Amino acid sequence: MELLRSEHTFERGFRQLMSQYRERLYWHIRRLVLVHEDADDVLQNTFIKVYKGVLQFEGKSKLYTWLYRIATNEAISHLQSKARHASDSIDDSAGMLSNRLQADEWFDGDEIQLKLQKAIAELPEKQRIVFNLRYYEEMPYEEMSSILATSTGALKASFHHAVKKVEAVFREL
Amino acid sequence: MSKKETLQEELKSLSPFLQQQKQRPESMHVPEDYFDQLEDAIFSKLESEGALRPALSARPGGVLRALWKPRMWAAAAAVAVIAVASWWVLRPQPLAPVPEEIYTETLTEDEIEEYVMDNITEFDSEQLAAITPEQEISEPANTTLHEESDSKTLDDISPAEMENLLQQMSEEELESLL
Repeated sequence: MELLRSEHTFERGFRQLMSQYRERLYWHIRRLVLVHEDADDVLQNTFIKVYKGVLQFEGKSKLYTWLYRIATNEAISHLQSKARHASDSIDDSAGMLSNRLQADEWFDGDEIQLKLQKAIAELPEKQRIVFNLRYYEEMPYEEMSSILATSTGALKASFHHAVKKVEAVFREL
Repeated sequence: MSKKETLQEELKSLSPFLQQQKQRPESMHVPEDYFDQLEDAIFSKLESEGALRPALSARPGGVLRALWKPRMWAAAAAVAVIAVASWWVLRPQPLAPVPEEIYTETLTEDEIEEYVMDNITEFDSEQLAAITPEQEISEPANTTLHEESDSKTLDDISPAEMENLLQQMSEEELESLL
């Protein structure tokens, strides 16, 4: 953060910040949007927003918490935008996502893995975020609590419910 | 207990199926060098949006670009204008030329004399002494009075001489002395 406070070192500092968080944020976004091309767009937009707003970051929360919030909002906005544009030809956003994942050249999962992604995509938005943060990123509930501004108890309950629902949907597919 | 073990324990009790799926290789991939090229792609996007901050060390001419701040240059221009105006108003003025010094080389003695006589009140005795021939200064204005005082002033004469002088003077001459 010190490097970001001077015009002389800002670019170097921002490159360091990207280098430190790009992979974590990419995978967080990719689990939500599923397709690499979309994840790339969302990640770039996320870092552009961070670039423009990082000097307003007051340090009241941890930097990665702030970054995760921006990335999550960008990913959800992207999904909502895609769902609006595709609403005429695709019945539901989960179906749209799994179809796009199947066509993504950067996905090589088998049928089980594809079904699992489709089942996860069926979860409500916030439950899906909780499931991904816990299941794929193995994030402690305390960290999730600061990102999602939700109590750890509520997050545990949400994850447990999501796990049961994913398994049930998977069995039905 | 690490966070991974905690998650495994959690999944074991909640869903053995999902615990098993978690052990499988990753099915999502990224293009080779994607992360290495990401930073440049983002900076290109920022540049195309015109949102890039001036970075002194990264660009040729960066120092000049950093100095190019319109408010700073406007302030510098205002200071320069005030400085020039102040110098112009307060600069040392050259002494007004004295007409006699300028023209004496080209004027005849008669012209000088005529000018002096026309403007006699403007000259003090030293200036007059400088431009008037010596014999004219020493020429007595009143021969009667100065016949006795060529070599002495009134302050130098004795009381007897003074008495004698006063007796020789007419009433008009006495009045002119008072």
